Amino acid sequence: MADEMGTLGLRASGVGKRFLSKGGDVQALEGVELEVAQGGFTSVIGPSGCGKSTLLKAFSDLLEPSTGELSVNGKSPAEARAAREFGVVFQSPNLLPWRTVLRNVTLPLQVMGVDRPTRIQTAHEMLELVGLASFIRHHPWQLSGGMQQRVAIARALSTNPSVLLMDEPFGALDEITRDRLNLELMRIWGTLSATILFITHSITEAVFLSSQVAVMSSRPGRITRLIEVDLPYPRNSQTRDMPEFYELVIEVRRALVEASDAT
Amino acid sequence: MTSTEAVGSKDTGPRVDWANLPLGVVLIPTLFFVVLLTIWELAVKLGDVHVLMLPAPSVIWIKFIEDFDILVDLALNTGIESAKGVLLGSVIAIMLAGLVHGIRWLNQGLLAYSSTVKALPVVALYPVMTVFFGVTSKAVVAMVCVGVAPIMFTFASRGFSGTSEHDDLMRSISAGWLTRMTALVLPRALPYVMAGLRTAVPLAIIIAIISEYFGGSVSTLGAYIRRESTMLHTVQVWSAIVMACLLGVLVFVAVSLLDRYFLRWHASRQEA
Repeated sequence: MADEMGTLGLRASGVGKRFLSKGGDVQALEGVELEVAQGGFTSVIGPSGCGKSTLLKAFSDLLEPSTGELSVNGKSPAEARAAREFGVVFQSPNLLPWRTVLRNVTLPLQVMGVDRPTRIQTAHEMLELVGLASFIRHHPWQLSGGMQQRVAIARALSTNPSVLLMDEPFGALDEITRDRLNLELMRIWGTLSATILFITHSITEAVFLSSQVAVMSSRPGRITRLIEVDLPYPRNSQTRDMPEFYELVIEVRRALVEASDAT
Repeated sequence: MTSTEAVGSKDTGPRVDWANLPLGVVLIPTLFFVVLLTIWELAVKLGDVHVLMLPAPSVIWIKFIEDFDILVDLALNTGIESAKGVLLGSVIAIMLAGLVHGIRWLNQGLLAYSSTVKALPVVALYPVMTVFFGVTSKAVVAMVCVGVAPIMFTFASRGFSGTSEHDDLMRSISAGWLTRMTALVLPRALPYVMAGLRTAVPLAIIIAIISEYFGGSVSTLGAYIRRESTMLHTVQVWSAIVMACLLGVLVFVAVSLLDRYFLRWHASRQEA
């Protein structure tokens, strides 16, 4: 399954997904082509219901595509999942409310059969990384939405995956919290060098974070344009003040409008 | 920490809501109780009602204190029988619900059966139980078990049937069956199991006392009430009723405390 020119972090070729339903079938994805280099950060942006989450679910082996092929580090999604190649961050924090922050973060390690001291050690490091080391004994309900999502990121990182699949993780947060978490994510990504696929419907978020923005149209969901973001890394709060940043935001917005006009 | 998402209505109006103040919660029922007892006492005294018909509260109270040790013993036995029945019925029902969840037709079939048993006056089964177990404590336990199991099955099966994004999480981390059960499915069903217990436990006490009344072990509340009533010891019967009430309240408090402990993470139990 290895790609010809070295191994890509993520690859989709000719991916289609048709959902069968009573009110007529829905073609959620059609002919999706996407390549993300190892260590790259790609955002997928599109209107609600365009199938961008479906694409992420296909990469994370939560659903089967109807047509086409996907690979994660050169493996099929199922193989990659079994090999713990990727971690998933969901739309909601998706923490288990009956478990403390610490035990939420150790869950993937527990599944892997890692011994308890190592589990706790790793969870501590991950929570340190997301700045929540002092909240290990708290329960999820005692944390704000932004903090909960940071715990979810720590959990996804606990198995040290080389790929992170993030499904609109900051979509439910207010803009100030979102901006702060974007900065956090940049800092974390800088220390990890993981491949990230990031689903969002925020243009500024997509431009700020990514090295590549994939613009999707809806019904059928397909990638209509790939925009390279050549803003320098590491990105920080000054990045948002750069004129190039605004030019790229405008470019992505135009591409989104074109994508919706085409249908 | 925010209370905006907390479940349950709260009076946020400027008006002071006496009925919901801690003092009001205790004070109003207590006042009610005192007034009721006073009327009862006066009615018996002034109306010259015979003690065999309806003893005055003061008379019942004196007897209750006098026989307290005996009554505690009886209540303890009744409580143990009920507890055994609840435990047995719950374990069977929860295990069954856990096993058939996912097998739709079997689950539906058992739910229908549960509804039928719930509609049945369980006491009618007592003669059948005595055929199996004789007039023993075991028959009482079996009765409680039969009464509790369908309730617990209905609640547990509802708890197991729930799905959430957590299922995706479990799949994404390749969790095995055992982890999925212990880390997700069982805790997710726990609020339903606790709700089931809040319904089933008071019912269990009732079933136990009625079953004891028809027969069963000698030193229990139900058997005591029957024996004393045949001897026209009305005061003794009433003092046993008081003890039965106390047992019911105690058990209710116990379940509430368990609920609060096990579901302290649950949204509806958050402190505002």
